[in-house]
Amino acid sequence: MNKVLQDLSRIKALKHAYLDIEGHDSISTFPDEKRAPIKKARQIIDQYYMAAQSIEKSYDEMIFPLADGDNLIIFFFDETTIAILLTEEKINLPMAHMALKVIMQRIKSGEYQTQAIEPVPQKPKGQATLPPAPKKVPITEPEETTLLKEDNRSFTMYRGQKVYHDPPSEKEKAAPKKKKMMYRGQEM
Amino acid sequence: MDLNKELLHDIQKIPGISSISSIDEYGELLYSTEANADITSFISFVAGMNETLEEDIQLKLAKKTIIRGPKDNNLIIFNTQGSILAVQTTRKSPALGISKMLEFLLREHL
Repeated sequence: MNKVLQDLSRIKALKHAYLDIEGHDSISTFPDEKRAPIKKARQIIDQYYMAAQSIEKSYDEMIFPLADGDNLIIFFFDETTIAILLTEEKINLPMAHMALKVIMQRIKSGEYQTQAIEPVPQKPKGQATLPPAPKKVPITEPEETTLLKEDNRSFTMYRGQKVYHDPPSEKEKAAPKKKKMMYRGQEM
Repeated sequence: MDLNKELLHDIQKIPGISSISSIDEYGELLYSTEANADITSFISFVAGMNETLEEDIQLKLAKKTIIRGPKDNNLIIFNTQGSILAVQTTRKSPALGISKMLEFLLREHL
């Protein structure tokens, strides 16, 4: 329904519309006090179309200028599809006709029912729009267990620093480990 | 509506006019350049129905009706002082513009 009203609002100089398609709920943007008279007039309006058909005329558009300067316009798209419009004096009739034809086809095909209504985000007045925040990139540190090699020396990167793990030499491997005695930083 | 010769002459000068008919308040044809009798019956029907439409829809009509169809000439009907003046214009002519010119002429002559 909202989408139909949105499409109708795009027709320039259109004040109110009543759309009636057999087998579908009628749509009216007329104020409450005008809805009953429009529905009542619907039967009379049908008779214009039937009279035109009885003399084999293709009349499908009727314009009744009103005393206050507005127009009452009736489009017959077929026997069961009709649009009653209240428009300003100056209106682009071919454009309005085409736009309504499309709207009617969409109603018939059920297109408006299947379209999800997307809420339009409301911007508070006077508030500057900020650019979207940059996407956060997670900061990862290399794992301490990462073992790298450089000139036959293995090392681990820890917080951007190389921590070498020099392998023991063959002599060191063979010789039994002596316990070093240290006194005030000096080997004894 | 009394179609005097001068008014008739002025209407015929408007480009796009294909026929002129004048019908009295009882639906009797007073003058017509339209050969199709069905059209004059339809004109009388529209003029009569407009009164009912005005009552039902509760809007004040300006006593003028413009009728268009994709395969037929446009029909402009004036319903004033109980009688009817109907003019047909060619399909591609600007019916709204011609109706305003006619309105101006009627105001001048009547």
